[in-house]
Amino acid sequence: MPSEGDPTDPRGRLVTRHLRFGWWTLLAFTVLGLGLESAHGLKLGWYLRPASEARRLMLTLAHAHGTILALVNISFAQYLRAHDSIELRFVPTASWTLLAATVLLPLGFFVGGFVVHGSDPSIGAWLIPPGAILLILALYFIARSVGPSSR
Amino acid sequence: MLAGSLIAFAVLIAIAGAFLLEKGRRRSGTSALLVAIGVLAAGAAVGLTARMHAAAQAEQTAARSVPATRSTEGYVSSEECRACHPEEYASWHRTYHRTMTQVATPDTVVADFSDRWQSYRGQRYRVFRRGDELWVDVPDPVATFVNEWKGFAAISAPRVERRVSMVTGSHHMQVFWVPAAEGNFNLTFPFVWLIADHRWAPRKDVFLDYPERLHGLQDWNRNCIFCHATLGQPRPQPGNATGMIFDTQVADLGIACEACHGPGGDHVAANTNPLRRYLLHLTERPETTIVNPARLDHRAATEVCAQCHGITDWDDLPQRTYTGARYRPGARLSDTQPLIHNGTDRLRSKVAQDPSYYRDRFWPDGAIRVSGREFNGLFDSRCYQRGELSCLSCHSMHDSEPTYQLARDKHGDEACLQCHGSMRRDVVAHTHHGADSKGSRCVNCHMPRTVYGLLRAMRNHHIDSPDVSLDTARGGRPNACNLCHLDRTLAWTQEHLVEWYGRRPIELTPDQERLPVGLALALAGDAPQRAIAAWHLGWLPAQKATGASWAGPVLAELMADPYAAVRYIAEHSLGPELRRSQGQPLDEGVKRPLLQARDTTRFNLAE
Repeated sequence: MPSEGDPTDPRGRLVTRHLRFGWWTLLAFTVLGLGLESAHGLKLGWYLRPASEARRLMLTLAHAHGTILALVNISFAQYLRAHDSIELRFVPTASWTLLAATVLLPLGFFVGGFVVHGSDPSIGAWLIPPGAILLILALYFIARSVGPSSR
Repeated sequence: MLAGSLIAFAVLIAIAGAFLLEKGRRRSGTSALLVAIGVLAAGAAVGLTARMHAAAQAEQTAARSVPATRSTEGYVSSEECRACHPEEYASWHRTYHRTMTQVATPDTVVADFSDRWQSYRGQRYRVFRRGDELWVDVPDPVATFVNEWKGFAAISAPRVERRVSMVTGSHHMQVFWVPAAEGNFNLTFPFVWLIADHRWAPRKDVFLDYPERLHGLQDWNRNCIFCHATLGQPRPQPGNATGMIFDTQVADLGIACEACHGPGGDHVAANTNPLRRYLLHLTERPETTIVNPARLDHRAATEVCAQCHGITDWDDLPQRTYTGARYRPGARLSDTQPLIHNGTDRLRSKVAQDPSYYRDRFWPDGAIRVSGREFNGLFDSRCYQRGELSCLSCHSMHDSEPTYQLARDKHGDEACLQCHGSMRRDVVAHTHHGADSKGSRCVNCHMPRTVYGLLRAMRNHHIDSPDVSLDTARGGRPNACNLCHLDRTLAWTQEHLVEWYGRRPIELTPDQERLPVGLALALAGDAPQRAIAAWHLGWLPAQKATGASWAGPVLAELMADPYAAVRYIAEHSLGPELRRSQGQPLDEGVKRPLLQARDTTRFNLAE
């Protein structure tokens, strides 16, 4: 088991980083979800009128991706903490690609949806494809890091 | 599909039956009951399936009677536009351009179809519903249509039941179309639904049409299609001996995106490339694969509307019949649909073929007098010829309320003041009316309601200034001043125009010197003049100017007009308040000679 309080333990540092990042991200995107529900409740034209179809989709996707990726970060921390036989050489890459994907994907949806051109999101949406590639890489490295069973 | 379902069902029943028979060997009493239930269930299932099959067949038949919506000639339909332009789609969807033709369903029809009979000229017509289907019981429309062409009423036409296929209408009335023959040939149902009055009325009576004329059933496929659908293609079929077998198709029912923007196929194909789209978004470069009327010069922009809102000749008729109108937004309308306009050979040729052609469309001075042809009026206006006035100077498809489609910031005088801004400083000096008076509103003097359509007087888009010389011609266009000051004489109006605007006086007849213009128009005028007068007698600013009690007795005379449309307008203008105020009956010595002098020319205004 990694020691989370020990700053010299790299695995412990990663656990702390992903837990902290995951919970804060979850908080942020849950607040966004509340905002979107309020926009429905208050019938905000900016969000609900037909021209905002792309905006609604993008902001909903920002909320969904942000929330799920926050949970993935927390799960990743749990995985690092709980699993004994991890191929450590894959973990740093898995960690930073996961963090980068967690930033880029929801941010791309959010910024892309804030300003729309008809049915096209703003240029912020261009963050989404690199975010998606980084997420795939992160999942690949996490999968590779799973070592043989400790039993 | 259906056969497959039936076989599967039969197999299931057979398996269940075999199972029960096997069990029945052991417990014969219970099994007999179960077999009976199984047989009953099978019967019910077959019956239900047959009924569903019949319903599906009825749907298919109904669908065949509506012109097919197909993507041809580069047109892709409004649904394709919606995907990328949801706001523009939504703002267009609110307009009555969209509702100019719709498939008739309980959602699109506001008329009362709850089993009602209507009678008209010895014929009976029934409207009724079968579930969600709207039906009519009528004398055979084909026989009626043919008989009318031959010039006699279809008294002997056999009765038929037809499912209503399409509906045309806006906020005034709804017109219904019924399939008449093979293919999707559709004719009018002879009654329309008046929305505000919540009642049926004979279709003939809502037009300014002389009483003796027959119904005038109209076919959708060769006439209405071109302006009430997008890229309408009539497509008469070969071997069409009756001239009534069509495989008509359209890009869209109703007047949709591509009617004004042109075919969208290239635009859709080009913009599947996201890099191209973002380049356009970020640089705001004009899109070259589709027409935006707002970026056209004022003539080309106006001609987009004029393809339907003008009286034009169809030089492209042979192609138009099979592949739709050749005009495309941005092109020169005169290349394919030249305007039929006062003083042109085309108009002379039309009049040579049909002497009533001119009077059923134009005032004697050449100004348009029928609704829906605003371009003919605009074309004659200096604002268009010498200025840059276009339809889009005042109207907007996407930023307006549906009734008049006036652009949001072009209500009141604002439309005119965008060019005539100096008037803003001292409007009273120009109008000689109070600043808040209706007489100080630009359109009341320069675009008076001298166009007839849809049971009302409408604004003429022939923009000019009040001029009594127009009235002096027989059946002449009423001047703007006397459409408010109905109780004043032409001499009174001329006096003011000379004094205020330095107009050159003209010689007036003794009657023009002494008779109120409103009275002369209402009693002695021709049918269009009487309709226009009847509407203005109920117009509140006119009643304010004349005193309400003046209009009542004149309207009472118009309630006995030979034209149903004039009677309808008079009844509406009279209203409960005027009925109460009554007023002095008209002097017989004045009334009788006017009624005797009434212009009895037969009109059938080409709305």
